[in-house]
Formats: sequence, structure tokens, C-alpha cells
Amino acid sequence: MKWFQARGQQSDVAVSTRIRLARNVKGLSFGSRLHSTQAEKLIEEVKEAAAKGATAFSLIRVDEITPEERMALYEKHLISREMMDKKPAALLLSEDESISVMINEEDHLRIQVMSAGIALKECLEEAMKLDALLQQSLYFAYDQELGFLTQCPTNLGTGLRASVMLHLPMLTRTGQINAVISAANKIGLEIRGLYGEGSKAEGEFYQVSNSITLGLYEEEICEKLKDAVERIIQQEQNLRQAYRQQYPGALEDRVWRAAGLLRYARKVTSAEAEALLSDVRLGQACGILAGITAQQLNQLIYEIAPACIELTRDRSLTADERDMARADLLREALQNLKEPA
Amino acid sequence: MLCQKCGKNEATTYYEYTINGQKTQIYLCPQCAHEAGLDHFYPFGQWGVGNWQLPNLSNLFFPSGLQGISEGRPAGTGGRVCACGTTEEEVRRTGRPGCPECYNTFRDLFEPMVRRIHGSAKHTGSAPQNIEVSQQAKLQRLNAELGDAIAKQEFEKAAQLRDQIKAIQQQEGGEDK
Repeated sequence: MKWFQARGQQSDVAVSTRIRLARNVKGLSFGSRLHSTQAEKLIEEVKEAAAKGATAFSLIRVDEITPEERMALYEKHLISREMMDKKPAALLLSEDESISVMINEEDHLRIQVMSAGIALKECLEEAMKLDALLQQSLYFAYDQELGFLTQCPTNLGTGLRASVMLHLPMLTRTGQINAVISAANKIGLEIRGLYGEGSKAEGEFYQVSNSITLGLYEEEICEKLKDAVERIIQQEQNLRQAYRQQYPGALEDRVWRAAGLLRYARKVTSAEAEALLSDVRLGQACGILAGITAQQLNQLIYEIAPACIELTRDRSLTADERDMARADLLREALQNLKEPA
Repeated sequence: MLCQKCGKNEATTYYEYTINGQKTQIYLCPQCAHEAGLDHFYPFGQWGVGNWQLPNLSNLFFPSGLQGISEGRPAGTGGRVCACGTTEEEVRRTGRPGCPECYNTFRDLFEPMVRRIHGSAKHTGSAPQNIEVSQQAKLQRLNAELGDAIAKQEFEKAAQLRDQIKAIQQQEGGEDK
């Protein structure tokens, strides 16, 4: 079972949690200054260091797979956009895809742990465990004042980026999300779109993450984020409830229209699918429809992305063929939708 | 050839060091060599057992006075240069280091930036465990070797060991680990 198929806490609004630790090896240059033989050697060293632990990892040479496979890793948030053009670059990946290490990304190593729903503490513990294991074999660049040394000064200190992906349809539709974003910015948090850094907050899925990494304990960063995320979730839930009280039947109509389209359409673009799934997910969370779980819907959000669709077929597809394949996938996934008991 | 530090006097001292496999060659005039602490390499002949002075070898592998000088770049033209080759000018322009050591070389440039970004420049989170362990183990080993050297009256070796110990202790006391 993959991590996103598991049941998460507060999954009516919280889609997933991600913890990332940036680490660099003492004595090695960053990025383009790092010689490719050293970068190759680093991949081997990290692989060997990780093999000493209990978790089994497979090594994916990101620079040797097809562009579609690379894109699919990006769509699953396992590699960053920057990593897609790096050479040599590799990804260590656990079987359930919850634990991974990007090697030769912007930083030499990026340890990542993902989980369904809100699970900041658990993910942090897992990431620190892997960090400690790697430290048995690798010397990480560290400074008493600046903490773990990273290529970008915005990641110095803990090197920790904690983020929670939230589904906020009502905050978006009422326009209140803008007030939430500026309030979050004031307390050192950032709210971005589905694909994090550089992606616009389009659609109704958002990533909330810490922007300050230095001067706080790792646990403090996670606590602060958790508090803020819980308050955002509360606001979203209040709006959902208030809207349904004020406009009886309106949300039900919208949710079932979206479900109807997805169940019968023969061609669906990824943007349309994302918007319609947002409605279905909202309907599922509010108990308007049954026959599908939040986990299944979370999984669908990843699966409808273009490269992930492409990988379900053995050949490369045209945009039209992709939209048809996406419609097939959605029809099958939503075939059991029904009225709640 | 002119001295690569002051760029004025004729260079008489040649110094070569290798960091991370990167070899750097530096030519210095007598005065700059003295300031960099490099003339300590020659006084061995003057030592008498009864009246000996210990040379300062704490910077044996990378004399602090050499920071900012790099092969083929006289001081004053490109400012400081990190061992990885990143220049002060590059750091000022991009705000990015070329290697972890750059944060130490250009600490004065990064510190205000870090304060601006994070509101603090003092890390409080976790530290790598293996650094403490290995430094502690290293100290123990060096202390044992020092005792051994003194017992055998190997004073030259003892002096080197003492300086290595001092360097580790200083490092633990506050600087970059």
C-alpha cells in the first residue's frame, strides 16, 4: 500500500503532510561547482548509508529514466522541478513511497517523509531517524551559529520545511483565502499551490508551510504549523456548514453535477478533472455522497496528472488521447458513487 | 612574480595546499608570508632543548592569514575567495554560497542576510551527532598520543599534537564545526 492510500487525520480538509530536511556533505561544493565524479560518488555513499537501516530503499537514477517517468515523480511530489534537469541525480524511495531522499538536488540531500492527513510529529520523527542513520556514515556541513548549511540561505538552521496540503474549496470560493494567506505570511508561514514553490495557488488545493527554518527547534516549527493549519481547517469547516445552512440544496446540486460529469464524460482535461474532483471531495467530506473514500480521492488527485496518465499506457499519448484515458480512469474510480445511507 | 596577497612586492615564498582535492598554489612576499604565519616553517634549526619555543602550527593546514588569497588572483581585485573558488563579488551578486565553507569565509556578508530572512542568526535546532562524537574521540586519541610523546621526550611531535588539540578545543568553543 502506498502512503496516500492510508487513512489520515482530519482528512476531510487535510490531504497530506510532508517533512523535508535539507542536508549537505561537509567538504563538497554546491550545485554546478560540484564535480560530476563527486556527485556520482555521493549517490553511492548515500545509497550505502541508507542501506544500513531497517527501511528498504530502491534507487532510481532520475537522469536515466524517461521524461514521462521523471514527470510522474514530480507530479507525485517525490522530486522537485529543479531535480528534473539535474545530472547525475538519484532518488532513494521506500516501497510505500512515504520516505525518500533526493540526491544532488539543489542541496546534496533532501530527506522527505510524507503521510496522509495531518501527521507532522510522526513525519518529523521518521525524517530525523533517517537523518541520524545517514549521519552514521556521512558528515553533514554544520555551523554552530547557522545550523545545517544549505545552498539557499532560506533553508539554513534546521533545513526543515514542514508542509500540509489542504483542500479549501469554501475559503477559495468566498475569496477569504486571500485574507488567510496574508495572515499566514505575517506569522512566518507560506501558502502556495498544489506543487509548492513557484506554483501559483490555482484550484482549491494549497500547501501551507513554514518559511522560517532558523532560530526555532524542529518541534516548534511543526507545532506552530499545526496550530495554524488547525485554525484554517476550522474556518473552512465553519464556512461549509454556514453555506449549507444558508443555501439548502445548493452544494448538493453542485457536488452531484460534478459527480455526474466525471461518471459519464469521455474526455476530461487535468484542470477540469481537478476542479470536478474538488467538488466530489467536498461532497464526500460533507456526507453528500458515498461510495468512495477520502483516500481514494487523494490518490485520484495524483493519478489524473498528465505524466501519471501517460504511464498507465505503454506508449506516448497525444493530449486528446490523454484526456480520454483520464476520463476512463475517472469513470472507473467513481462507478460506485451513491447516495449516503 | 608579484606577491598574490599585497600585489606589490616580489614573491619569495611558495605555498601549496589541497582542500577537497582542489590544489591551490600561492606566491607571497616575505612580509605577507610572515603575516600569514608561514615563516614558522623554517625555525627548526634554532631550537635548543633547554630553550625551545613552540611554533604556532594551529593553522598548519590552512593558515588563517591566507584566507582571501587564491591562485592567480591578487588581493584587491576580486576581494576574498573561498577555497571552492567562489569570489566575494559572486556572493554579493547572487546571495548564494558556492560550498558550505563559504558561509564561514563570507560570514559577515551572510549574517545580515540570514537575520533578515529568519529574524535570527542563532541556530537552536538539532546538531549532527557524529561531529561531537568524532571530535571527542579525536581529542581523547590526541591527548593519549601527547602523553606518550612527552614521556618519550619527542618534543617536536608533542608541540604538533598540542596545537592540534588546541585547534579542536577552539573550534568547539564557538566557531564553525
